[in-house]
Amino acid sequence: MLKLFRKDLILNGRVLALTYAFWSVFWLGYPALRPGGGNSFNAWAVMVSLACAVLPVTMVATEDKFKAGALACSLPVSRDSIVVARYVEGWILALGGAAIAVGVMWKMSAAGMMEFGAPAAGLPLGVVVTIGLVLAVFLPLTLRFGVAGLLVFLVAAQLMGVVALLAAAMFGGGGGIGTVIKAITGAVTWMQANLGTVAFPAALVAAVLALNVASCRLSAAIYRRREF
Amino acid sequence: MTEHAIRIRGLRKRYRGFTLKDVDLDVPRGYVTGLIGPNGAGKTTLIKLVMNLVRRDAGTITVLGLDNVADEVAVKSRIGFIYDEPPFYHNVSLRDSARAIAPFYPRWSDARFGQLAGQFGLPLGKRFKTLSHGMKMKFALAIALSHDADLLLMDEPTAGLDLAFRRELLDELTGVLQDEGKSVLFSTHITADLERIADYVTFIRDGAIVFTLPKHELRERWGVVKGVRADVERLPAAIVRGRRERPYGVEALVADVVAAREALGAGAVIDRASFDEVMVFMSRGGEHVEAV
Repeated sequence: MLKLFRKDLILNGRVLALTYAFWSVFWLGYPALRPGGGNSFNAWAVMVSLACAVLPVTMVATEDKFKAGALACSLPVSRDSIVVARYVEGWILALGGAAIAVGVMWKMSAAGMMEFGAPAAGLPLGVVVTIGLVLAVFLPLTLRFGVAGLLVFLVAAQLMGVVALLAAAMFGGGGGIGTVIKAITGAVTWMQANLGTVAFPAALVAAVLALNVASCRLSAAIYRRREF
Repeated sequence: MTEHAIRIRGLRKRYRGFTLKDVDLDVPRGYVTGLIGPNGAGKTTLIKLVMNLVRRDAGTITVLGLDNVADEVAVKSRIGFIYDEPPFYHNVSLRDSARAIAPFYPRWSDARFGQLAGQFGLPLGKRFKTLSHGMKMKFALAIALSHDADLLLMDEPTAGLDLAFRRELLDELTGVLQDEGKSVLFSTHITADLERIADYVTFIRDGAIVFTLPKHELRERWGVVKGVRADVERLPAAIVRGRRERPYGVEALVADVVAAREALGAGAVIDRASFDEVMVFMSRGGEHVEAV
């Protein structure tokens, strides 16, 4: 596993650093868009988490670009290990990247250099859940179909959203997707109200981790079938 | 120690429009085997199947006595693999690429890599994308030879190289392989490469192995009979591997020049078959008419 981390870091270090630097400009500029306060630190942190969760996807995209998946698969390492390493380094990169950005912004905000409201208590949970959801959905798609597959998925999801909204507007009701979203938010709200301040975050993190384990297994199964 | 570097039995892989058909193949240990055949014959597919880069539909592949799927990690640690288009990161320096790959191989030697890089004139500080195709192949070769691999698998290592560079690469390969007892399987459609370094020749056509022979046998025993149709028809069918009608007569590729001479008499015109001729005869399925 460590060998795979080392390899990916050496081969992708430059791309990761450039991508992170690129996003940092937006993150630093974001509070200036709404001067005079009113910026939610938590909303900003979730946006940062989203971008950081895409860092591992960038890595897979670079590998795809150079057709270097064949290189990884010709090394003496199993395909399952490659996939597991991608998830673990994905979490490390995304959490690390988000932690650095949030930490820096927190300091700057405290020093009065950035106009932010005070961070709410749920900030770490929001970061972890955002990263977990993005990785669980994006990594299987990217590992199997490359960035093109991910883009197709995102465009298809957008189109389905548009169709669902149109259908809801034309025929009334929230439709299937609306029902699912309501059910999920209802369940989370219920958990938050009934589980308490310790059990609720623990349950949510456990659910996200379980989703990632399932996603990792799915990725491993489909990556085993990938041909180079 | 098994006597075969690679043993393939009943290997099948189906793509739309192409099938590798129940391939049986033994690649002898300690020798260079050239896999030759026309474009689209299945050379790359066969090599990728050995590397488990594509999934087989049926059959078994044993590499150095180990199953290539069940013992994938152990097998790959003993293989040096060279692609026709080396898949290294274009924006990474050669030194960093080697640094990333080295830890995967228990027998990797930095000293060996440094020596080969010097011998091949590789600019280690340069990015991969700045190299010519020939230098890219040399880098891939240096990587493949730096971990003391027992088997080298090379997919068209000389494709796209000019004659001088091709010769240089093959000379360096032969120089490095001398006295090391390594096994090599390399695919090519350039017959001159076979002449230069192969000990055995395997011919593949339309997804099927046509023959595997020691190179010297091919050189000494195979020939081209030139004559009229009646001459060729007198040849024993068992030794005829291909025929072609030319504007001035008929030619037949035979697998036994002695038997052919016995059948046709001392006056028969029988030339040694060059690899080019074998390739031309065999590529077209053994029978064709050459246009005027």
